[in-house]
Amino acid sequence: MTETIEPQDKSIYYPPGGLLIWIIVFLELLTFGAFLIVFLAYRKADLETFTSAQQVLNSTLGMINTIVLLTSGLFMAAGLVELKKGGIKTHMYLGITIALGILFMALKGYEYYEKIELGIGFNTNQFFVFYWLLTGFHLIHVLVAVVLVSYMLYNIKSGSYSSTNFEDVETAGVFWHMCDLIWIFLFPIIYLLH
Amino acid sequence: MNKSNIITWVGLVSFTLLTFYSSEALFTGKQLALVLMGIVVVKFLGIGYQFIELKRAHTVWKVLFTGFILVFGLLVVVFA
Repeated sequence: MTETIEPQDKSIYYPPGGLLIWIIVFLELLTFGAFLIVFLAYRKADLETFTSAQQVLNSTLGMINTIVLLTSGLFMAAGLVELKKGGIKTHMYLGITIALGILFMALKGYEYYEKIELGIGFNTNQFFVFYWLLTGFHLIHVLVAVVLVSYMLYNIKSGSYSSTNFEDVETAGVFWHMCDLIWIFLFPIIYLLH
Repeated sequence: MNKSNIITWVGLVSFTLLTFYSSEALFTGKQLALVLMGIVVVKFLGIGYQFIELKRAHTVWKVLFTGFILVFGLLVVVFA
């Protein structure tokens, strides 16, 4: 499959998806990154509490959710390539992307239900303050991404976007991948590091 | 579907499984942090360069993107 190369590709002002979305991406990465460094500093100060609290987490479910998000990223990228070359599979690929995003949220909802059933809340201990905040904010981002891509899919179906007019879809795609990027460092630090 | 995207996805899933099993049995503490963050760097760059197509962006964006994850990964290893 040939990739579409736009003339502005190498311009510093036109990264994939546009300048504005990349400012957002870096702000988000820095925010989550700083939050996780603070998490690690608190963890170091109270390693015993953090280690025992982490054992309650369902890391298998976290791993499945990682694969779900990575797969959704594959279909998002494929959907955009199809749109750029005027292919007919754009709807299907973006539909699968949205479905996988919803599956991620459903699995996360189940994980939260498990914790609530065990009586684990926001104030259980310091570890869970970070757990609820970090995973909760990430979940909100996934929800926004699902809404964004659904809106793009609706507009593609109504003919608003095409192989010559796809910048907004590319921007939504970058937002989607940003959710992947955050999750792939959030998951091992919160769930796996011991 | 783009063949190089599929290859990237297979790599990303394989690295995810490796991350999981490394933490389950192989390493602990600082050593585990180093392994986990090493894999995170590779996955992060795989998504950025292949899925987001950062490979066709201006060098400044590549440097910022790669620089962020390298510095962050290093900080995690230091603080772990």
